[in-house]
Amino acid sequence: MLSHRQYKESSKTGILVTTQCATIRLWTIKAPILSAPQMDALKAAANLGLPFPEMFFGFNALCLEVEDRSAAEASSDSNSAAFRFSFSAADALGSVDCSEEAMDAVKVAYAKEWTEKSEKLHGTIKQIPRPYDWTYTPKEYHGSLSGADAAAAIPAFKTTSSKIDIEMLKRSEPILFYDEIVLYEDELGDNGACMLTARVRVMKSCFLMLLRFFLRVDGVLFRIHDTRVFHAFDSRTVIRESSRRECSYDRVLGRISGGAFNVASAVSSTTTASTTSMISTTSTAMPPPTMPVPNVLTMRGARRTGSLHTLDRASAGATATPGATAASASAGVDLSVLNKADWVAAGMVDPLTIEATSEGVVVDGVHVTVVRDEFDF
Amino acid sequence: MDLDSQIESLSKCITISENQVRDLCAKAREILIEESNVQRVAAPVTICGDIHGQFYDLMELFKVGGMCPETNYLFMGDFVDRGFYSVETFLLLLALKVRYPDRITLIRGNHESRQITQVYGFYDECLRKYGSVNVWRYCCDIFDYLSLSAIIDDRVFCVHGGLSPSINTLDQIRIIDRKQEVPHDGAMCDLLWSDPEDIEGWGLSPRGAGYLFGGDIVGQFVHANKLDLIARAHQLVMEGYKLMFKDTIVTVWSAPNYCYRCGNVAAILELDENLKSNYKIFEAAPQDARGLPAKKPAPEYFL
Repeated sequence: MLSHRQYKESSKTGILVTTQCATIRLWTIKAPILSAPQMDALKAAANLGLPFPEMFFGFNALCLEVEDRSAAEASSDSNSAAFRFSFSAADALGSVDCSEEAMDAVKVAYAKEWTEKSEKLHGTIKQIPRPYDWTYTPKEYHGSLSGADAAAAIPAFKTTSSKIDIEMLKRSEPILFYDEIVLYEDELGDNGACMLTARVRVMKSCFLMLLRFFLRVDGVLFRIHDTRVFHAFDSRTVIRESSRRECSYDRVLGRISGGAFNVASAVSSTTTASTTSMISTTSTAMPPPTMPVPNVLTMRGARRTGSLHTLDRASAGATATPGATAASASAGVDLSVLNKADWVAAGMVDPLTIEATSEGVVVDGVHVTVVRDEFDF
Repeated sequence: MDLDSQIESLSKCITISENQVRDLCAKAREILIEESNVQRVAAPVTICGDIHGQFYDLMELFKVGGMCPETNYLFMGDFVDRGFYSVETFLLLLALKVRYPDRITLIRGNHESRQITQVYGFYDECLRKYGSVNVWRYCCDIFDYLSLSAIIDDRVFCVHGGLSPSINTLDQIRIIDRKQEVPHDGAMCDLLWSDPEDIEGWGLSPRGAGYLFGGDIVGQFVHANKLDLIARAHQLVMEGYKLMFKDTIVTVWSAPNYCYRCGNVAAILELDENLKSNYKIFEAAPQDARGLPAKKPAPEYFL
């Protein structure tokens, strides 16, 4: 890079970078969640067929603009060579699947028995009128590419075998510009969480943008969809890597019992304890029938975070009696780490290190697909 | 340390000791156990929605609405989780409840649950602030005693989530055995979890569990129970409150700038002695009052 300058204009914060061949701008837009009239306007304008996520930061975006200086100098119209790539909340939401199949693809852990009971009590109750993927997973959204103006030629991504240069990103080069934004977030009626975020960091030699969709459905699954965009300033290539990772809820929960979480204090305060062999079985979802607290078995969360009780008893280790299980079950486990997308992602296969595979492979219990493409300017 | 000094301490966002929490919960239990599942409340009263551990924003709420006991309050649940100060928030409200039992009513939200608090922050916060989970356990035991709903002067019904297909009359709520963890189905669960929606009749959530109810359902319930209004919380509203179905139901949201990033305003609903309603809007406490670090995120070498 030849030079750089940070700037701020109302809700925009960004950096302007000048390299040998281009002028590059990277910026974020941060604004509050949309108001009701703003949502109505967007719904009409974008023809959205689904309810908005609970927290929808409709104006937020992470944008990249590249202007080829050599082309700009040759052309009389200084904008004609510029193009824009962005991660935008509205575009991502627009890509959410609104088919029946998408709506039914994932259900909360206790959906089946809940529906059965409901039918028995109240007859068949119809689904909401318009189907949509309630997990708000963006379908094939890897950013929006456009010309900075109508006349601009838009470069096209083409499949590549090149990878993002991890070594370059691992260098402890000072970060010249960093920002992170939330595009949308939903608590899934407290059945988990989904969150779409974007981050950017700019160093002297390169930049990295990351769009991350994180989904947790309690007792069911974790899903992480990442789109990374990388550019080394001494090149004319922008590489994009899109990955999807998904695994069972229990696989991630297992990492907590694997030592990442310290349950010692939770356990030490529970009542008397002595050895029992059934305590060490780690994959049964339900507490044993000896559980003396009657309501524990019917707790909303007991089923969806099924192995939680087992985990708890396992953490009590070799020193628990069936009589002590109720106390330790209600002592619980700190599951708040499951809200941390980076922690969950770090426990899965790293897409940066594997070969592209659009069909998908299973690595250590995680289903993963990786697609790479690039364009030159 | 007496109750008044505990209230004073908690009002400054300073926690009380584990033993004090234990004693406070024991006293609260004696009061709450006597309350009905449909607790009777007399107007004037100020109705509040979700707080979610946003202690300094609760202080803003009291600035706007007046302090307890000068103002009567009804909080519709979700005191804990998400925010940084669930402990101080819930204990302050509970201490006020014990000190002024007829001046403040607390009803249960879906976050007042062992299972939910383990995932969404309250458990973690108790462990961090007290070094053990005893305080969490005392609080969870008290959650089981919180009332499920309230009725103001026989005309305004207040509940955290909404209606249930198992419930047509208030008397059907009165006979629920509430002293338990929130079940994952049935009437008690529905009251804490369901949402109004622009549909006819009952609808099933696309997630596969949970009910949605339309304007006709609200109309029938209001008619059958001779109500003017249903007040509920549970859902974030950018504008602080949202009236639906010809003003028969209102969502009140009292956590401004929810999760410290949404930028929304919050509201409380004041009902005067004639049940005339007045919505008051308020914003989040200024950043410096909250003792939080500046908003700019620390640069991260993410990959």
